[in-house]
Parts: sequence; C-alpha cells; structure tokens
Amino acid sequence: MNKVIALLLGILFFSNCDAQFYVEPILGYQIDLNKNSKLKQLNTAINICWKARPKYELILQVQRSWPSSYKSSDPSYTTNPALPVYAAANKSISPSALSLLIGHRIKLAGRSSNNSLFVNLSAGVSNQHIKVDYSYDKNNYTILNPDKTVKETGLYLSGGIEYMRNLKTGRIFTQVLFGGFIHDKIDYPNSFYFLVPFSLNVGYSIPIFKK
Amino acid sequence: MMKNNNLLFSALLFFCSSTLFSCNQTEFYADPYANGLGIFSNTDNNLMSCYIQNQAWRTRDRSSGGFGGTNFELFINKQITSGVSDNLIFTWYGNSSANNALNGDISLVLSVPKFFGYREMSALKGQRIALDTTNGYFRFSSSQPNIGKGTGNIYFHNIQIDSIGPNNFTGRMSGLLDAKFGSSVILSNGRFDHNITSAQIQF
Repeated sequence: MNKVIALLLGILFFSNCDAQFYVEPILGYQIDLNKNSKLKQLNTAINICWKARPKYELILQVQRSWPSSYKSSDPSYTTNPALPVYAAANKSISPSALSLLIGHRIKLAGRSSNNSLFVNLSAGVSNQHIKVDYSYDKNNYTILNPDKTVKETGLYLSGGIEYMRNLKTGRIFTQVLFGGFIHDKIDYPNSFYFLVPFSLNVGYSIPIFKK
Repeated sequence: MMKNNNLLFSALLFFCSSTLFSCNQTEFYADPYANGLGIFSNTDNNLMSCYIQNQAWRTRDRSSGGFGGTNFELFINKQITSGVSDNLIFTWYGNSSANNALNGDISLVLSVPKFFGYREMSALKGQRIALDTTNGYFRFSSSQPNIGKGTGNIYFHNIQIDSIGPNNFTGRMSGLLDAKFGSSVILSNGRFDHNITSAQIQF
C-alpha cells in the first residue's frame, strides 16, 4: 500500500511541476443511507491535491472512518427450566472503513471570486469492517437470528458537492458526499448492510509547492 | 433432419437437467458463536443442528427433484395408541460431522390428548416443555447400541400449522432443544427452523 501511494505521489509531482499542490486534512461525520440503518461514523481523511487547471484538481485521498458504536439488543432464549425463557442480548455494532481513492474536483461556479463551488467525484478501493459484539449469558442462552462481524474489500465510488473559500494562507472547504461499494452483498442474514455513507466534512487546504 | 436432431438434443438436455439437478431448500448459516452449528433462526432455513457428545450434528439438506426424489429433514406424525393419549412425533434425520456412528434420526415424542389436532399444535407456540418420559421423551436412533428414552427440554419459539384441505396441512416452526440419553449421551445447543410442507405432516 505504501509503495502505491509513493508511486502515485511521484507521478503527480513530476508530471507537471508548474502545478499547485495542496495537502488537505479533513474531518467529518457520516450516517448510513441504507433503509432503517442507525450506523454512524466519524470521518477523517488526508488529500494530496494537484491543481492541474483553474477549473480542475486531481486528488489522491486516504480516508479512515472511525466507528461510532451502535448499541441495541437481540432476543435470546433458553431451554433451561431454571431460567427465564427470554433474555435480551446486548449488541454493539462498530463499523469502520479504510479507503484509498482517486478523485476529481471540478469547479462549477466562482471562477473570479474567493468563493467556489465544486463537484467532487472519486473512485478507488475500500475496506469495510463491521464488528459485532454481544454481551449475554453464552452458556445458557441462544440468540435468535444473531448478527456477525463482516469484512469486505472492494471497489468504491463516491461523489458530492463542495464549497470552498480562499483565505490568505490556504483554502477552507466543506463538502457533502455519498458513496458505496459497487458490489455490496453480504452472504449472511445480518440486520445491516455494508454502509452507504452520507458524509458532511470540513477541511483545510494547505499549499505545499509552487514552482 | 437437422431440425429433428435439434429437437432430440433439446429434449435430452431437458431430461438430463431435470433428473440430474436437484434443488436444495436448506440454508446453512454457520453460527459464529457455536462452532459447526447453524444459527438459531426463524426464517425457514429447514435445518436442525445440535451437538451430540460434543460433535456437531445437523439434519440432511432438504432437496427436491433429481434422481433422489424429494428428501425432507423432518416429518411430523400423530401416532394413535390404545391408551388414554396419543403420541405426536417430530423426527429429524441427519448426520454427524465427525462421527458416522451418530448418523441417524432424533425424535421428539409428545404425549397429547386424543382430540389433539393442528389447531392444538399451533398452541405450542411460545411454550417450553420439560420432558421427563411421562409427558414425552426424546429418542435417538443410530448405529449405536439402544440408549433408550431421553429426557430433556424443548422450546417452541414458533409453531404454526394451517389447514389447506382435508388432511392437508402446511406450516412453520422454530425453537430450541436439549436432551440426555442414558447416562452418557448428551444432546446440547439444539436449534431448529423449518418451513413445513403437506408431505411432512401425517395426521
């Protein structure tokens, strides 16, 4: 993975040294667009941005989504006549993700002002890990339709709108994005699906190089 | 001539595909918290699994079509007796994952009143019954020596039987069970989930 990032950065750097480069730390929050899902994540990312033309920027993004654990319960039952037939099994679902994306930032409006509107389109590889933990009496009770931990690495697409404001020392921006796996089937009857994140992020664009 | 050959080939292909390929109607989702067992579900997975002497044991797959005809993993029948009550018998057919001596069938024999019918069967839903051999028992038939009647417990999470015609029923059931046969053979962590067709219920 490190070699791939280094190679891509190298290509970006040497292909056009007249271009402006930026480093962009990003922080945000995302919810899952799947029906009835209550899964949420904290979102962090780092962009290496190459402003190739006034209206176009190429972005290499490493994104890490941190779990915000969702707690609920599932029914569990026992045949042991000395115990209540039903007990709630406490459940915690923690979704996390790591993505490597190549994106395109295309200016829609604001060419001659400090305020600009962009469309942002990205594609790449993502690894989603949705961890399920139960807390219950494992020796006596059996959970009905239990969820289980799933992991998947696959092709990932995302897109959205971005507002950016130029400052003296850099650029500040906020973005609304949504994305998801191209193929997202889980071969197990979990109560959840792989996330289709809808994220609200803020970031700061720091200029790092100009010839 | 060519047209006749195509027709013959199509007929042969249809015959082969319909006789060779059977349809599996069992869904096995491995329980992440019980190695070798299917999950406890109520989604018509057509499976019973449990540990017998700590070996995973599961019912055979339900299949239809193919050379083997239709195979069911479960049958339910009512046995008329000369006594004051009759027997309601659930029989699961299956195999052990590691010990062929455990291949065979497991039966639950419930003592029921003479008037017991499909409506009364649905009334078992939500009931947990401790079997002490007077109100019912478990039976395990395998190549092992006869181990007699077993005591145990069964919990019917769901059981619903519907009449679809004279002596013709369908339904579904799910639940948990455990049993002890003699002094040493223990059935534990049993869980079942079935969609029941009219061919499986013999009242």
